[in-house]
Amino acid sequence: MKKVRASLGTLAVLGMELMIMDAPPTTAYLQIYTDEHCHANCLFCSQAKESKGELKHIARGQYMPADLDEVVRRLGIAFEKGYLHRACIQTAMYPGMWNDTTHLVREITKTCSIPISLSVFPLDDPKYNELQRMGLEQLVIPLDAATPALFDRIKGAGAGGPFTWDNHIDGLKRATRIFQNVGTHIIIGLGETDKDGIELVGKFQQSGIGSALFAYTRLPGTRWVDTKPDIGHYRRVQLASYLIREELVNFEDMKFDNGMIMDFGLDGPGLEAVISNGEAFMTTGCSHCNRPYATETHEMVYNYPRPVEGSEIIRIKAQLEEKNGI
Amino acid sequence: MQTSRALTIKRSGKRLNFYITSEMFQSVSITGSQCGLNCKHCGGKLLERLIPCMNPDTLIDTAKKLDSKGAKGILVTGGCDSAGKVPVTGMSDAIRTIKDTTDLIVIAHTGFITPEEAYVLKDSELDGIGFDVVGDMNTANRVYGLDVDENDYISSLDALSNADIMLFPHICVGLDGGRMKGELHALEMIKGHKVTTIVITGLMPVAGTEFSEIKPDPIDFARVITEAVKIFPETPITLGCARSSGRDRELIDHLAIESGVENIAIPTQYAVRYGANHGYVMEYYGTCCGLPPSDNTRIPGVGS
Repeated sequence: MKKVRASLGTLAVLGMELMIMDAPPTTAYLQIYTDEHCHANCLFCSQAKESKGELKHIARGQYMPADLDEVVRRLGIAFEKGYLHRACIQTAMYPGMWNDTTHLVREITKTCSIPISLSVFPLDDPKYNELQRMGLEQLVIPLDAATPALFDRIKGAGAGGPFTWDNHIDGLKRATRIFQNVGTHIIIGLGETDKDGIELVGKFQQSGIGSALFAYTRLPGTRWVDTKPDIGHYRRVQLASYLIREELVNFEDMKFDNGMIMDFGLDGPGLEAVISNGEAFMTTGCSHCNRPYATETHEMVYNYPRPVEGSEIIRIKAQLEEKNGI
Repeated sequence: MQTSRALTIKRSGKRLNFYITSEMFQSVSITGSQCGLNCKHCGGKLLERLIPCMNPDTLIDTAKKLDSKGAKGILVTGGCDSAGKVPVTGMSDAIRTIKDTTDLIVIAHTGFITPEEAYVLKDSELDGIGFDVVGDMNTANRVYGLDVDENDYISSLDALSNADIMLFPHICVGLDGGRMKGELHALEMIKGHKVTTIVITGLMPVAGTEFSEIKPDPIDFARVITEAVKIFPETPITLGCARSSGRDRELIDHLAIESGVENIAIPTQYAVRYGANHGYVMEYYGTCCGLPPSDNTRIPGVGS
């Protein structure tokens, strides 16, 4: 049996597990299957080379091995019925990953026309071209860390991993020449300042690269990053990123003091309207990506997988005022 | 709760068996999406997601295909007739063929069953049967629309027990519109029958049904599970896949572990983390949760 990993929520939407969710995923979250740890060694990741965590975890998500053919067959039906609007293929570094990735992309495109995103470390241009020809809709290269120094400590040499900041940036730039939609993931809460995160989102915005924000999630068995979760910091980066993404404010018009944002570059009533709308606090990334509970618990929601409700806005406003320091 | 959990840990050690069916244990419906009962909690909705196998040949073909792909087994289920019976006996020859020609574990939901039918299924080499036990006949009437008495349940349990088929009864917490009714009495009804486990499930708010907005009270799971552990000290208790939705599933998982449950189907992230933080040995199995954990059904590539 050819296998693919699929998140439990995805399997439930596909009718392969009997489970009902408050917020069902609107994207199918998949990962190519291997039973070995990734050859990369990112500190936060359960699947990293030196992690003692479970292989099935991507952040909080539980990705169970499933029958690839059956998942793809049901994906076609779920896309037609309007339950799922995108397929997100996540990867890992191991011999055979390229074949497994292209096999999965081909099987999906043979079955239906659901837009496909691929999240992968930088590849060479011929591979990008091949993926583009196969019909990949969006390429994502997760940068994860917001500064070169953090990157080195968390994903690069400092973590005993193979990645470099420069090569990731180069990979993203090259991708924009080949794919219409290119994105990255930034994990907030690894020790960066408001400014580090927001400035990076601004730079990527100018280069046509979308930034999806994730909250750092400590997973059992991983080599933990020594930081404290700070919801105020997360909300500020989220709000500023939204203003940049929606082209309401430029990064250059925001003001910072010692790394913390002091002025979002929008007047009081304008900012109030944006916050009250709530959209700024919803999940970001490829279109139709809501990744319910990927980094959240029911007690602490960083990214809302659905429109934000009134009582939640009140809570978000209080969180925006929290200044625990970074 | 502490006492019942201590009983479980004393018998089995500090372990949790997690069950995931998707990879290797698919469910097929021998009635397609048809059901004669149209119960308030399901309205036939739960049948729509199953692989339809409405005649013996399709059932055999589907089973062979799944077997060739490395599946571990199948659950043969379907809608009921108006008397609350799933017509599994009509598939007994097909089940026999599947058992003779594949390595699949085959289990079924039968609904009410006579001794004769139980022996026919025993002869087909069916591996096990899940049977829903309702402890309050008014609930059976209100939710299922069935006019049955307690003896109908007992005689089915007797039939399955006497035919020596592996039996894992299910009790649905909050079936009666979210309220506890006969759940504890259902445990008494099961007592005295040979069972491998008792699967505690719970009402789910299924969209498009009369109960689409209703969830059971999580604390009721603790009530039923602590009592189950007390009444069946030698039998592992299982938390089934069908149980409420969203956040309540986390609360239910917490209460269930604290109450001494040993097996959990589709654990929440919370349950996995709770198990890790409290020193439980956790393994995953690719079957329905009524089946005992075994080396043959353990899912590789899940743990570290």
